[in-house]
Amino acid sequence: MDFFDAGLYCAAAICAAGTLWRAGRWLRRRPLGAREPLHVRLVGMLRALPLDVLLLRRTWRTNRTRWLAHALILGGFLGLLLFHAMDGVVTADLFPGYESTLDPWQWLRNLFGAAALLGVLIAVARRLAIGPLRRLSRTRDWALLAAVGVILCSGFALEAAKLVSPAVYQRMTDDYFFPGSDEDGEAMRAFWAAEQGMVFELAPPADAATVDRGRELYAESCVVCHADTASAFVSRPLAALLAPAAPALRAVRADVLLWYAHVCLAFLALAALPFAKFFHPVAATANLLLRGGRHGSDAGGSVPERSAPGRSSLRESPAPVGRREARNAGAARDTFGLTGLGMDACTRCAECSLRCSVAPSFAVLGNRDILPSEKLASLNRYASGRPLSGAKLAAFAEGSRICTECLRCTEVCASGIDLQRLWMASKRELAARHRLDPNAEMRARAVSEWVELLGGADDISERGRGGGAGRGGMTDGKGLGLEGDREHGGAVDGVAEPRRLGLADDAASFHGCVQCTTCTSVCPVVAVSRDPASELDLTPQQIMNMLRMGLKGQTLGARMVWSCTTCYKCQEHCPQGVPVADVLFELRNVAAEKLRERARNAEGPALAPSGSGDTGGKTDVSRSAAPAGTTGTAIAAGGVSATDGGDATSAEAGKDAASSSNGAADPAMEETK
Amino acid sequence: MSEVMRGELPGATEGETSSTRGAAPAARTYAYFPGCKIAHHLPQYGASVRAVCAAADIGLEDVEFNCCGWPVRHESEEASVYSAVRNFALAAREGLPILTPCKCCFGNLQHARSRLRRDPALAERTAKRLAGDGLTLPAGIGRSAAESGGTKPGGLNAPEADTLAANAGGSVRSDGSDADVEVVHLLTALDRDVGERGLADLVTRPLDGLRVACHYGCHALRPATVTHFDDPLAPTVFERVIAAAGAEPVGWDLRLECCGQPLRGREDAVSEALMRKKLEDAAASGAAAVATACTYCQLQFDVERARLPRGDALHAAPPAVLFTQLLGLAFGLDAEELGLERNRTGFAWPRG
Repeated sequence: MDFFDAGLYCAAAICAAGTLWRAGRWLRRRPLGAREPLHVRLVGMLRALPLDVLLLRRTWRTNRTRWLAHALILGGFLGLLLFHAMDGVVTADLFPGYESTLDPWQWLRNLFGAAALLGVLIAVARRLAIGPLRRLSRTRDWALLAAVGVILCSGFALEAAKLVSPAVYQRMTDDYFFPGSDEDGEAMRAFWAAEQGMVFELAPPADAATVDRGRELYAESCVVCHADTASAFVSRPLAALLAPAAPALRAVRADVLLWYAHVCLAFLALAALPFAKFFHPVAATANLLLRGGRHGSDAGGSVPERSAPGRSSLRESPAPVGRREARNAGAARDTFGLTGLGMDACTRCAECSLRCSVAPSFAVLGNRDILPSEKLASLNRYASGRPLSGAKLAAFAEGSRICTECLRCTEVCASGIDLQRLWMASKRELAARHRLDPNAEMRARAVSEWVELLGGADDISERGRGGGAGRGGMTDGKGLGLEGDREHGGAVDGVAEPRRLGLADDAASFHGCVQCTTCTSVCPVVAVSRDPASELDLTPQQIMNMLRMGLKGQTLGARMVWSCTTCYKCQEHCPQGVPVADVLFELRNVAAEKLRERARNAEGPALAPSGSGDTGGKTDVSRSAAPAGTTGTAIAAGGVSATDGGDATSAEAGKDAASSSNGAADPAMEETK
Repeated sequence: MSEVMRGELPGATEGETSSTRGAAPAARTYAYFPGCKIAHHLPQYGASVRAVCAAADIGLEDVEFNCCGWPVRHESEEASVYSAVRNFALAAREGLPILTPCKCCFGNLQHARSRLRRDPALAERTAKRLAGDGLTLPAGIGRSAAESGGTKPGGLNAPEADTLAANAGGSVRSDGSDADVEVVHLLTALDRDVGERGLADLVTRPLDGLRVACHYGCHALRPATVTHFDDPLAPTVFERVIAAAGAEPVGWDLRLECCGQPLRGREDAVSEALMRKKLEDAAASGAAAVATACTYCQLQFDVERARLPRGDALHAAPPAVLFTQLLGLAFGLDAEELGLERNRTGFAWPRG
């Protein structure tokens, strides 16, 4: 067994084992996809093979430049693989008389190589030229391009080195050329030096007669199995460039060294195939075949399958939908089942991230996991059971949460990955296993705990505004100044509007509040609450009062802040122009920002997974429960009958709330007890 | 009020007038902003919007917008505002006003506009981010209403002075640099551009005898000084459009209340309680259907309601239907084209 065979078998063995390992991960999980009859899926696969896999139809639909780059690489690579790397088992069998040095093979090899190299160059140029793409490119992306590029370059260099190597010439003429005289030997050398680019140690004669004689000998002995080297249209000019360095190349036997380099690199690439992005030719192909040309998502959720529009509209049983939901929920429990293949199929072309609907949120928040291609990498880690640090898990959760499930990434994915399905499953999984969104996290602890954890009114004094817009805000001159500002600022109809971030710190926001409880009276959330004091902690007007007292920190954990349904009735109805709903929005923003900071600095798991009991003891158990807890029961029972007048109902509820709030002399004291 | 004025205004820009209600339909083209949820979660809204707009001669130009920023507003207003404003920049590049069928998208886009006008520092940061993205902040967005001569969106009940300025100045100039970008909800577009009479002309199968409870949706309505959608206390645009289709809008107490959807996944019990209260009120009003004009409201009243346990009384409340599906039926469009079979609460017309 020679070096070549040994290397090939080693690389092939690693490749096969790695492929089995990765494919095994798919099989251990639920197979992908649509529950269509087998023959339908087979037809889909048959269509997907030429269109999606070979012609890269999905890439064509989304980005022509990328299509060009990938088509060049794919076409060139496949050509080289079949007709060059595997020439012994493919080309030689198909074409009797095949010789690698004959045309069209010599020419084709250069063509395929040039095409692939051009594709690599375009791909590299794209990644460098497009800012967002450059920033998203990771080592693995450059690694694959570099590997392909280096293999191609080493191939061209090898061919060029052989063209200028007298040793190679010698080996060939020893085998195939039997000169009748020394003159003939000289004439052959002269011809190869003059017209085929060979560089000899001792230059042969260059006169026309000798070269002509050489041409005749060439026609007799060489041309049967060696085409004109000019058809190696990349290697031959490269050889001309190398000619001045020919003595050095000769000395180190560059033709031999480069052969080893080229072959070893190819073996390395073969062995690396099952790893990282190198695997995408296999995984993406498999995924495209399984998807059978579908662009949408197979995820359930809100797209029902019902086809009985003509029936009674009112009394229709929701059962069929329910059963389907249950089935989907079952699929979701096996969360990352069908996703192994999809996750492996990502080529990290980043088209999804460049066109992501929530990419602007990434631009502001800077969390890479907001972008699909990056989130997929985190999901891959998460799903494979590798630990994510607290900060990384928080970032992954935030990215998952901010996704709006708009379907665009799924539609533009060149590998046909059903990303929508992955996101919907991972969101459910994250929500079930961790308490990582500000809403759930804030609800899990009591108001007073958050005062300790997030700090009280510290940031209010930090922001200052002349030393206490909070406490002293009602009397300092700022409010009046802003009052004037309000007239100029275009606020209409006496309703104040948000002016800047920091409404809650700005006395002008609520110095007009007279605690009339209108906001509370019109609040629909207060209205459906049986006991706002216990279920919501504070009512809207109480929150405004807390802010007036400079107790912002004491409002952040109040469930009213988190249960606000953002209907803006409070703000619309406020006779004093207090931007109540905007303030509540801002309080959620403030808490979310503080939690984000905490998570960023977290070493271990950022937050206890729900049910871990971590929050026990300090926390009111009832509020650690899932959202549909005791509150829900009370509220559901308190749903008003249809005949009640809406306003009357809310007003009554509001009065209750108001009176209960009046009962507590100091809401802040009540909270911190 | 203003709608009478509008037809008589001098100097109106070509193609942007003819908003007088009852006049002949005026073809107008918008950049279509479906929002994120329609593609996967409510495709029937997208299908019916396109069908109705095609019938009503409202041009919809597909622009690859990003999220309006509403969902992220709970966590970061800065991100929310940038998301919204990026869409303004995209529309300005096309020289088109934005049309959305979603009240939450509408509300958040308007909110971002208002925030930008009142916070120059925020406007500056946003402009910088846009520049990094190869886009330009349309100058009209960042300017206060007073500065820019009041180019505010032509909501029906916007003060007349604003309407005057909007019509005189034009909403979007073709170069997109100095202009404001108008955002309209589809209800407004139908009411303003096509008008009651125009709509009635398109009706081939009037929804005679169908009692409809129009659900307004909070985020377009309030705060009115930001959204400029309609009178926040006594809006009428939805009923006008529904009446034009031959249906009978019913009066109901809770028509301006919240559907509860914003609390989905945040506080499901309250979300459900709000929905329950509303739908029970709609049932008591004698409505045969609750019409929505918002992606989220429909998801709540249709999809979320369908998830309630089988025996829940709320299944008997009026089914939820998208107003575009109602209009489409009245226009004689195919139920399948309008995606009616996708509705889970099973609205059907004519009653089988």
